[in-house]
Amino acid sequence: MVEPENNTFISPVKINAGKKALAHIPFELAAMGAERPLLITTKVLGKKRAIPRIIDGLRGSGVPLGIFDDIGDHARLKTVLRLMEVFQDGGFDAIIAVGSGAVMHTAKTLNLAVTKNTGDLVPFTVKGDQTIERLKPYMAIPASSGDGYETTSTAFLDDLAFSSLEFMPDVVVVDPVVFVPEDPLKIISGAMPALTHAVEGFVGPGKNPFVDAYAYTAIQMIVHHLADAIGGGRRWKAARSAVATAETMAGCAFSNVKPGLTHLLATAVGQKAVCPHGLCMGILLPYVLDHLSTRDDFFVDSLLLPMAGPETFAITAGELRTGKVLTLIQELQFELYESTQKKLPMTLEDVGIKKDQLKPMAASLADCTSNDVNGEGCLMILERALTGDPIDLN
Amino acid sequence: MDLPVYYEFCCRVKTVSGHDVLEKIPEILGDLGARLPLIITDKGVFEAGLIDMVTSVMNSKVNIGSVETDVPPDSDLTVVNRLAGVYREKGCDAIIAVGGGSVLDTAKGVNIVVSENASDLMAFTGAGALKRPLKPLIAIPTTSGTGSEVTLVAVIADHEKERKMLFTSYFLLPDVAILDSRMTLGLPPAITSATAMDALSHAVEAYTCLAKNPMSDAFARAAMELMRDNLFKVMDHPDDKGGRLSLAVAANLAGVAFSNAMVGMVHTLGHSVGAVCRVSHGMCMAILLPYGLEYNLHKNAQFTSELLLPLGGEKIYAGTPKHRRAEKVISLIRDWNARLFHLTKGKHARCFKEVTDPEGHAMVPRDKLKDIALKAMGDGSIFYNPEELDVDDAMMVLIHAWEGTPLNRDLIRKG
Repeated sequence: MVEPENNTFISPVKINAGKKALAHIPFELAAMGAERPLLITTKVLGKKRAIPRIIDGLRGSGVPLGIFDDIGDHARLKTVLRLMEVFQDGGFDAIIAVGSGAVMHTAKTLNLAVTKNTGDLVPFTVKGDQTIERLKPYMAIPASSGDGYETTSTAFLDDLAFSSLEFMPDVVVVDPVVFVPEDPLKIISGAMPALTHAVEGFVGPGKNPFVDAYAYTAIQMIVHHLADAIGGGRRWKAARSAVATAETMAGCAFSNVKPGLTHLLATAVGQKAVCPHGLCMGILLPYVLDHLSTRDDFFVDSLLLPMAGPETFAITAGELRTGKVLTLIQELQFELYESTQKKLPMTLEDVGIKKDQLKPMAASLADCTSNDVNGEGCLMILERALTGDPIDLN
Repeated sequence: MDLPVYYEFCCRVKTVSGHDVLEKIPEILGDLGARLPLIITDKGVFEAGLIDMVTSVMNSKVNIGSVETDVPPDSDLTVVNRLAGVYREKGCDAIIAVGGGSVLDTAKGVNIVVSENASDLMAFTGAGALKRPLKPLIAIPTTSGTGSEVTLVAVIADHEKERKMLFTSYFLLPDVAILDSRMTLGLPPAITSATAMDALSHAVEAYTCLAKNPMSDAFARAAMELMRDNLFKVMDHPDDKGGRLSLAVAANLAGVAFSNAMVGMVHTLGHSVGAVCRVSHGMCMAILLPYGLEYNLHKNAQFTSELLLPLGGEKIYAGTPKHRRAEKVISLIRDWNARLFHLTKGKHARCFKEVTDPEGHAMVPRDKLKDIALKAMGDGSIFYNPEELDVDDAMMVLIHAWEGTPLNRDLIRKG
């Protein structure tokens, strides 16, 4: 184990996960001092069973609840401003967000707006000069697949980007009952950023025991449950819920480390690709790990423990572990590819990237890669991922 | 992998660890919006010079409301009220608790009084009675054992009315825990060993008892790995800063694990030995830990055997046949105790008959075991033990733990 050195870790998120988790909402609201929550969600989810179940659960407890179900596909400032009025006029004191992506980003920035009592959020962006202090109680209930930033310290609103640990939910409630069948590709594009963030937290640099613990659990749960979650078998809801819980844990790990190379490359690729950037992460991950496995400040081989369990880990000789890790990741992707009827993109070509786009992408990353991987290294990774170059496992 | 049907996990305290992180206190106070902290500690910590270390890094940057150094080991409501008075009189706006469990519990009590402007603490007892964040609280542990810097409970005695008040709320969690290697560098060997075994018992019971979940497992595993790699390093070289810091982090991780997954019979019996015979908590944990695993083996051999990887390392794990791993874990912990016994020249007792007070008198008379077993039946931790523990079995375990002989596992009443 890597010894802890100077380090700060914080994860304000309490996780309540599993069967009948929704029944704990009134208790959790009371425990965070929320007396009058405003629930926000999308029209689509509002019509499904999830929302009525949550409302029924709250009604029985006598908690007065406001509901706003008009969050669109993207988090918009104009929605936040409208909600700000709703929140203040209704005398609400806490936010419950049900859904994913846009709902959660709206909730985070709404929380900032109502706490600071201002619709001018620009000074609070990553480029602004204002710091964000403690916000109002905020509970998140994942109910669909999103972009992988739901429980992180990151928020996006229109083209504004925010980052603060204060954005993270106080409580995340994950209950299998709220999930409805979704396009497997959507589930994968929400899970891949989580897997990537957990893996990049776990292999370092910036590795510490706290990040490790969250990342370890997230990796273990995604590797074991993702295929079942999209497979639609008898236990898919439990598996889907496990994946959502793992996404929460990965978000906690990610919020405590610098973004890794896969994340950065996927962000660059995602701007040109015809797919969510989560799928780009999945494509790039094995190539980045292969690239980093030769460096002694990254611990790619250590991934074998959370991925394969103690038995396989202990009987695999140290020098063979990296190869085994890369095999397992590729096997997982192939399994997902099969279960999406071969619709899952496996190469950058599959997502519409052309060879001549790679050089500018690599160049744009040259000054933001924290892992001191040079432009040449980035280009090599992108080129290999372009055509799905086989990875030499020895 | 099997997941619990339902579980909760929370690790909300910001943890700042390092060799020179006391220096961050002014900045941390600033982030919390505080300017005038009240420092609470006990005499031992003060006389060890640890408060000087804390205040010297603050003096130039932050004013200190007051330094209160007289929290007794059995702190109570009177102390809480007196310190709350000091807090108000000096116009403080945050609390820094430097020390162990008693200091921190007292600080939490003071925080309720000053934040809620409470005249009667009783109104805030039980779960969920606190409704809003309290004043900023920073915890600086001075041993690597209890993990109390990450727990959400406080117990405050009211000696006058002869009662104990229990408070449970997420608002009681310290805002920040500061783990600085300088705080534990001077601990004598017998305290280092006993507190480390206390932390180990948290990790081991969190992993093997009934309320475990995948996150508490990961924290427990990480704590055990750090303990494996650092405990004996520190016993051999007490001034190994890296090792000291690792043990402090391990105790913190183990504290997170057990406050989410609860503990079992090692604590059930240990609390009782402590209450009846005044034996230190860590000492009780060290002695009882192998017995707890042995007693529950027919219920949770799977979990116990998994501990061989973090406790023994991959070579020992891979080299031990699957069906032998659980027993190997138990013998490995006994080995640790035996090594600690020798390294502390007998101060780290291996069984209860070896426990002596500073004058060399035996602290656990054989004839007290019955009282201990009876008292244990009222301890809350008994509910999370994998096998149901009745008073006869408790007695049987205590007799073996007194003699230092392994359990006869055929005699355990299996439910």
